[in-house]
Amino acid sequence: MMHVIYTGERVRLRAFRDFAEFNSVHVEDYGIPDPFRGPRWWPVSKREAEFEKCGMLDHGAYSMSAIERLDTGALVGISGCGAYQPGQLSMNFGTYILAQHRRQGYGIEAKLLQLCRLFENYPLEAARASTMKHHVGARRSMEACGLRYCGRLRAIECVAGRWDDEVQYQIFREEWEQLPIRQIVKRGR
Amino acid sequence: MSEEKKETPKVPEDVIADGQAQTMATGAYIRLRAVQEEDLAVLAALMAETPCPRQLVPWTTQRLKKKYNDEKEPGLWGRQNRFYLAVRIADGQIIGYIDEREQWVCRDLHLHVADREPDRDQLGEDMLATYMRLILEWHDQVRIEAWLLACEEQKQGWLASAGFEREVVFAEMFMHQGRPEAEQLWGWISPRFENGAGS
Repeated sequence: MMHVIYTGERVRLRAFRDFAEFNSVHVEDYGIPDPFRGPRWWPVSKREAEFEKCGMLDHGAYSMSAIERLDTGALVGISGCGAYQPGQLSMNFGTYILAQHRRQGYGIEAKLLQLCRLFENYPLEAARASTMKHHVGARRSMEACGLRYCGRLRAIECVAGRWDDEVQYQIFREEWEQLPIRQIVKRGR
Repeated sequence: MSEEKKETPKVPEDVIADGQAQTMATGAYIRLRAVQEEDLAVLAALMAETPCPRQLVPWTTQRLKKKYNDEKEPGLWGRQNRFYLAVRIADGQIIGYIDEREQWVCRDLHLHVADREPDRDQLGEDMLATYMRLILEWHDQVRIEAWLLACEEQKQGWLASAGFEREVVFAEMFMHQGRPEAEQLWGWISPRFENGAGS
């Protein structure tokens, strides 16, 4: 059985309740220029069409879960992962935390819960994540989750007038098996 | 008012009209051209042979024909995804291909030369060098990248000789011949950015 809800000590990953909740994260995500990616836009009608297909949880396409604070019940961000294809041994994942909830450790726990979701439900040997080279906070957060640097893509994106590299990180199943989150995580409701 | 006289750019001599499929560039041993319908069976066999496909679904002539006849982007020549065939000059045989996907500032390549070719390294190096010359002659390209499996050692040599660097190794990415295999990403960036990118 595949669990959708993963709960840690401070946050849980769960499906979005409805499109309004899903959209509320993107109002900030796409409303504020990202210092590392620049101005972007995902039209509301396209967001809604994507959401209506499967509530953003699908093996064959990019999936997104809500990150919810346990103490207040507030939505703090999105945890996403890539599409799964049979034969593939690795999947990528990513996290977006709303500005007012950053630097409080919610992103780290959300990543650890997403690793549990991936390794417990898919026949994977590894999981990987990436960020821009100068995004120190994201790099530290990945390292705090046990991910290790495995290379950089040079000149992948022009950021505020200069070319920046994208750094890649990876964690193996046997490394995830040693993480303390496995003793903490609760699955299902 | 003096009028500056502009010369019409000259098309390189190796760009040759060749029936319906124009030869886009000519190397020492191969020439590059677009795909025609009669090439599909050979191309499908080459695509099925490469150990690192874009999709983990086997390619057949039937599937490739469907892609070739795609209403939005027919002819395996779309706005983002294009196929170049490498044709050996000596005998006109199709010996390899480059599957190019244009994403933002980057061209992402999958390439292959038939495993049976005894001079595969020579052909592979020439195919990639010819492709690079074609792109750099007509585009102000920032980045080109290629994905392959760690076991594809010959292709790594072709990429290194064309100025690519191995940028990332993702261990245990795919099953290949019964065991987990690493995937490598090789990248080339314009010399304009070599000292500035990410510094």
